[in-house]
Amino acid sequence: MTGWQTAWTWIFGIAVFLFFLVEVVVVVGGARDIGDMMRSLMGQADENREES
Amino acid sequence: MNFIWLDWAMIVAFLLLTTGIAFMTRRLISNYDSFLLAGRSLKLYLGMATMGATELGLVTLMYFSEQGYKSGFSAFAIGVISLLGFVFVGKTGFIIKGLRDLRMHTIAEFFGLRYSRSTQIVAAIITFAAGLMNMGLFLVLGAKFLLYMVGLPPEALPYLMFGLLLLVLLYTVVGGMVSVVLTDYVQFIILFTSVVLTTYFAITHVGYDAVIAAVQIEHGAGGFDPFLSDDLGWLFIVWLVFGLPFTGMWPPALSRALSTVDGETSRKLYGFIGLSFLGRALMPMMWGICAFAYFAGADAVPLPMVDGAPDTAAAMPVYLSQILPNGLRGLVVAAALAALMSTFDSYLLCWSSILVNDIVLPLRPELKDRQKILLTRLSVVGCGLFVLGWGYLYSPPETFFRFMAITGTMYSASVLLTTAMGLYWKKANTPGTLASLCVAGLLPLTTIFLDGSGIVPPAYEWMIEDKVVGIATFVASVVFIVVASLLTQKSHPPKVLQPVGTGGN
Repeated sequence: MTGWQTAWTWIFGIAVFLFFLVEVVVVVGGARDIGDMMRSLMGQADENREES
Repeated sequence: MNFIWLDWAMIVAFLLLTTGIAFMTRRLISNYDSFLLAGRSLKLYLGMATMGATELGLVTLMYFSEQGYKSGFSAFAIGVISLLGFVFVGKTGFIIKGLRDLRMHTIAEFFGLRYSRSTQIVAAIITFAAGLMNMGLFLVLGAKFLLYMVGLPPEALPYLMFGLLLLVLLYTVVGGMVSVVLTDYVQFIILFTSVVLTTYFAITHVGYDAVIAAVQIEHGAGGFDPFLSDDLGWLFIVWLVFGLPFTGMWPPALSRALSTVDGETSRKLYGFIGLSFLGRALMPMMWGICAFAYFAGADAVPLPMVDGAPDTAAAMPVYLSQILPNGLRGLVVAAALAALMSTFDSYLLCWSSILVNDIVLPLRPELKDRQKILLTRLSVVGCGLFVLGWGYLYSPPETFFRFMAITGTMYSASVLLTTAMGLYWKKANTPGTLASLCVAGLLPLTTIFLDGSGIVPPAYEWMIEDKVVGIATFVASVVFIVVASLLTQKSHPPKVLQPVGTGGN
């Protein structure tokens, strides 16, 4: 393999690893954030209902 | 037809899930902020999920795979430049942190605050026009992918486009940003998993050594060295490097940053999700390269033709339809639908919000929240219909990625560059910004409408090539804002802005 071929092979491997890592982190952390967002939006909706 | 019952079942289950979420979240929309920005309550990981799903669209998979098919491994340079851009923005908070701290809804709103109402409207019109043209190819590319994956006849393409548009309109209009965010989370999981699995099957079917050999035989050194590539070359690389500081700032992605709880979360969002952007580009490019090796072999099915030439955009879906196992093919199409919907809904909502917030509202500030939501919903439908027509009628002269890049330049060299100047250069003023916006907003139109049209004499065609026009647009934009601002400092003294704060809403 030439220098470019070797470099692209390594970069591709790193890309796949980072992509998978981000997926795992986001799926776990995102589930918790959804709960927080729903509570916040329901609170806002209640406040707006009381004001009107 | 390539599908069996299991593939269809996966798609139906996915559609029921996403449309169900849209209807369930309706009651959470209590005002315009909750419709458009999910009440500014996005935290880091959910922000990453929604930005990741939004920025990894079916159109992304299609244009990157086509670029990989045409340029070989040299196309990887695009992904590396994109990663460097995200690292830069994530480290510095360039533009995004400043806008979030000023509590902007959209980027054009900043122009109203920093410059003038007319500048805001001009910036919004350029953003809206560039965005709509860019989005114009989403439907046709998405429909092509589904057409070849499922194995439908080519005549079904317009019906498929119409069906996809109806589906996206339904839950964007009903739910707004809250449903977009929640469906993005579900779509993120399906999408990212499918991309990794598909990459495995795409490479193992032809074999990595065979892929390298096929690229070497067809492209030679240019298939690996982007500076020697016939399709890319050093001009193309310079053009991309000019746009590097503005990576990931296309308005739908920015709207995610502006929906976060504070400016610091916006900056972190770019830093973390940027790590996945290398894979976002390189994996679909690898599918395209593998498809290239597959079609170079003797056992391949024929590649579909368009106007007598091979349809390079169809290579990847045709290849995947032949190699993926039953069941996984359905999951990949469900993921593709997820990709299409998560990108398309966000983009529709974003362009519509620009139309309402930055073009209509400065002229009609008395509109109430309910009227603004109605107007945004109507413009979502209008934008969708435009995209249907534009995608059916327009064919880009080069690859689809390069069309995306030139429409991106139309926006970044004008709106983003002048935003950066407004945030970081005290002498930027209204005349300088208007001059820069106009020149950078108009120059790319030469390549979009004239390149390949036959109107320009062959001796001058290089002048309207996308790489040349892209570089010229960035240079002209900087020159115009600096020179015009300096010449008009006395007649138009620049405004000075104070950030509202770094925390809370």
